[in-house]
Amino acid sequence: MIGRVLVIAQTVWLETLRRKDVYLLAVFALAALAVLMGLNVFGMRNLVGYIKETGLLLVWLFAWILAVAVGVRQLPGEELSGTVFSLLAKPVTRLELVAGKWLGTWSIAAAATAAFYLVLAAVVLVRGGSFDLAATAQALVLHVCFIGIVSALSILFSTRLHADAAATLAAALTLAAFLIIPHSAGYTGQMDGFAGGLLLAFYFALPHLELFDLRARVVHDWEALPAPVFLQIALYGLALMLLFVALAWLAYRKKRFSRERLY
Amino acid sequence: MNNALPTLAPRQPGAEGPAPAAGVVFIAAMVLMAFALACRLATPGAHPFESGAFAAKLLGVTRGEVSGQFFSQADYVFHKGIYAQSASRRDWFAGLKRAMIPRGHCHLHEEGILEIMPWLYFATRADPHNMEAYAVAAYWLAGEAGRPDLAERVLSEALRNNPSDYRAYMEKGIFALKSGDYPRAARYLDKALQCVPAGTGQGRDAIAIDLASVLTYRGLLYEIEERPVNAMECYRAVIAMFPGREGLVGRVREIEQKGRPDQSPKDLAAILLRQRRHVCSEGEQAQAGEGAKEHHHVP
Repeated sequence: MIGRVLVIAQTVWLETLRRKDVYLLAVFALAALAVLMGLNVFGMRNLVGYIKETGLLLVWLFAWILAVAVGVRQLPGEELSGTVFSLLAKPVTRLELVAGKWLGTWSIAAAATAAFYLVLAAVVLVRGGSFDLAATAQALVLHVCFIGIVSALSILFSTRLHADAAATLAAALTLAAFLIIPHSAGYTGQMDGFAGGLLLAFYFALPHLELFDLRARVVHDWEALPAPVFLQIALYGLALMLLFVALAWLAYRKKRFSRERLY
Repeated sequence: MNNALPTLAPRQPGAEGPAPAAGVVFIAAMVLMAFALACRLATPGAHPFESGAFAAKLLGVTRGEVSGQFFSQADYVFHKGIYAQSASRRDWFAGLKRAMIPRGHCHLHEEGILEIMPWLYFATRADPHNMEAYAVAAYWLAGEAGRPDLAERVLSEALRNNPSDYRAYMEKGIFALKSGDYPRAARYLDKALQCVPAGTGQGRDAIAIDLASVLTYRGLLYEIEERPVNAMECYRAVIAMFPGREGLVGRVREIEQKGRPDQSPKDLAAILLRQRRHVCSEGEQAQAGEGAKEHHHVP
């Protein structure tokens, strides 16, 4: 089973590299970094903190775009081209197909993210800045967890929707989970009755993606997270990934394919 | 050889209109003329990005909000990314979130202060009328960062972008006072007094506090110039606005009774300028006395 999942993941890599999404994002990231490095801030040119902060923001943004864009087109792409019929005619189960697509999406987005981190680290070091190695490693691991969750969500939505709708839904949900859900608990006290209860339900039910964001720790040179806290967040991330992949499989395992519906 | 393809015979000069070379020369001449005119018409230092025209076009009326966000980011960086967390919830997520952010209250110091400059720079680029961003940048550059040359440059840019804003002149005047250039300080403070808006509109309280500061500094400069009558006029104007300023009331009484106060104007100016420092509501000990300006903390 593992072998078949890895082969499917490999095809995701090949397809993504062929479509050059990663290269395009890398060019954007490099261009943005070059502009940031060239800024003349009130006559000063040797500042590095804002490059770290803006660079990490770009890395997060590009990793998110990549995970959603690659994830949502995998299953609908196979169905549109008709290759899903020959794929499933081989001894490949739907679970293996979903798992392989997710693994491929996650791994290529994670690899691109790691490469972006390396480029950013090089730029910061060249400018005379520094990174706390432990804090940065933790930030990267949790960032990779975040990418895994976003990839799984994208795959989940694409099992029942076409690529564009899945992308919109995945992007909206992950943005809401990152930006709005963390603050929603503060409003529950101001709302009473059904509305307050509903908001609280959303707060607990939706993924708390903000927990995976350790950018501030890297940018402001804080020390690494305590190990128990880090492990709790990493395990939470792993649980979310498995949950969404399982949901994707449940949504896909009985799906009847009809090319016309996808056109 | 495919006979169906048209042959590319050499064009006879003048046979079908002007030769292509003439067109190229004409276009090149036009481009050169446009470039020369653009160089001629552009005012030095008025690059669209520098003057904020680019931001104005891109952001429109939201530029103030965007600038405010950059200013808030400068404050966040100044506090090393640590902010007060609400302790309203006690669930697992809130507990993890609390554990992720260090507690306490700390600031950047010395050269580290420079890390807030890019965000203040972006704030001024988004909205060149954000005088507070200019003032805070100049304050830290001249002070802890040890770059008064850059502070002067920042204030000159503020003045260029806000030629009718009293705060630009006030900051220039205070900077000159700090540098010991009293005639220049007096000129700028007089200009600030001329530009203070009249009326009771929004932000009047802040304007009144600024006006009191300018009058106080101007009064001290009058004292340095041996013009106590003018100094008393300034002090009385401040007392009329803020009757509770006992120190100034006492100073006026001393001038009236003895002709000169016990504390020299230069010493008092130095104290006031020192008090006009970063004042933080929590953490560090704040010595906010008379004339202390809380707004110089990135709020």
